[in-house]
Amino acid sequence: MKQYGWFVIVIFVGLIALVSLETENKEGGFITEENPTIHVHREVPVTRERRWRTTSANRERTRKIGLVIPSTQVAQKEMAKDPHSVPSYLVKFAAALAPYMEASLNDEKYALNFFSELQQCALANSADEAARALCVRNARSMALRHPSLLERWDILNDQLPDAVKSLSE
Amino acid sequence: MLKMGRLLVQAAVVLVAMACSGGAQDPVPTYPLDLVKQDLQALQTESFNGVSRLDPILRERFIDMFGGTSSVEVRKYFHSRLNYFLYPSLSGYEVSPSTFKYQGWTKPARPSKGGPSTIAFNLGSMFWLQSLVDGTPVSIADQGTVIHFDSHQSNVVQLSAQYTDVHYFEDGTYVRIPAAFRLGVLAHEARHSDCTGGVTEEDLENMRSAVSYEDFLQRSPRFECAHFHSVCVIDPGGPEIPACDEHSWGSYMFSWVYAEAMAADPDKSEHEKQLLNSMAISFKQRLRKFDVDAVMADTHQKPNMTGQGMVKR
Repeated sequence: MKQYGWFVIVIFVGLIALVSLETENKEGGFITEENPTIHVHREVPVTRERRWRTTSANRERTRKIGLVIPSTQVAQKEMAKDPHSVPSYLVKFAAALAPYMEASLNDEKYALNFFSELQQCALANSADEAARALCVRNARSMALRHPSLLERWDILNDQLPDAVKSLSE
Repeated sequence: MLKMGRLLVQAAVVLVAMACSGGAQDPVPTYPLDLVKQDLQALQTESFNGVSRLDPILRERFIDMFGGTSSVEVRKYFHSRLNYFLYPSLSGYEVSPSTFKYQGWTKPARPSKGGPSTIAFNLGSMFWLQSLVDGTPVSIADQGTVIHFDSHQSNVVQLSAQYTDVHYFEDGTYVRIPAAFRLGVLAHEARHSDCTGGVTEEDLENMRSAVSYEDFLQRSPRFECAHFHSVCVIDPGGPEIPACDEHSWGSYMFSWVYAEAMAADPDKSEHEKQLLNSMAISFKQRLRKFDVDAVMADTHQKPNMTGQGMVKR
């Protein structure tokens, strides 16, 4: 019986540790429900957040973000379902961009890294046009904030298809 | 010891439950009718600081469309076009007459699976036109209040559950929707209250004989009353959707310009700006049936902000 009691105590202590770790991640992590990113799944692996929190500031600025850009198929499916409103996939994508943009506008090194992601999104032919235009808008804002990006912005702007360019203006 | 062990197990179960729920409840969306009230009230404190940051053409157009840049002026645009909100469906209201005679003109030629859903719908314009088409007064009764659709400015909007401050996605995640975003939707619905150019007897005849909404638009291509949407394909290879503007100064143009102004507001959070940018882009996509940039730049063209009833042409 005594052995059983100790076993329960060990489990209890383990659970407390797990819960406190979870709470800590939710408050300070980059990926939270209140601050959704592209990876807006509620079951965010703890390991991922821990990795984010323990990497050095410099690595955070240069790590690959990996934007999940909505495809034309996703866009067409949603437009057929609800043609009148701003489609859900675009709302989700826009909300996901917000924390990255916030970080980029305040941190030039972070912006240099994130600009590459936006560039890829803007030029992705298989991606939804509206999502691409949103990436272009953000790339332009970032270049206006950080003049070191102006040259890269000019190159990107020259490569954009007219439809995406006009939509972003 | 056994008692203590049992207590510990119970505590552990509670903690596991807390850990699984994340320690916080998912937000519950505000009731749409309360939310729309809050949103229209929020207009009183809206600074419209973004308007001065728009490029000069867009800024000028914002003023043409919304009557100015002050909260008082912009509120006038909303309040003179939106007076009564219903939620969620008409089943809770007594509609008179219970059926309409000519309904072909309201039906899409190719209905989508399950029917399209919308955040809001300007019922006022639709029922007023229906009363003219059928030659019968149309009204709805709501808890002792009777609304008569006897004028082109009935200003009645039906809201759906999608008029929300928390948008849940199919995967269970959610995004908070700012008031400025919903006001962009209301800016759109408000424009549907304008019967620009009025209605002719010929238009009514075309409605009576139309077999579908698209059929009516083909018969009356110059009809701008209530700013009906036209059918278009936004993405090459994508579906045909009844969600574009055929003429300039329609509902999508109004919500596009409104969203641009709100997104340019330096006081808005990055989250708000991104959502408003997505709205501006999505609505600008629906303006491809005419050269929107040329219309905006042509200062001789101004939006007609007046509405008319029956007219002779």
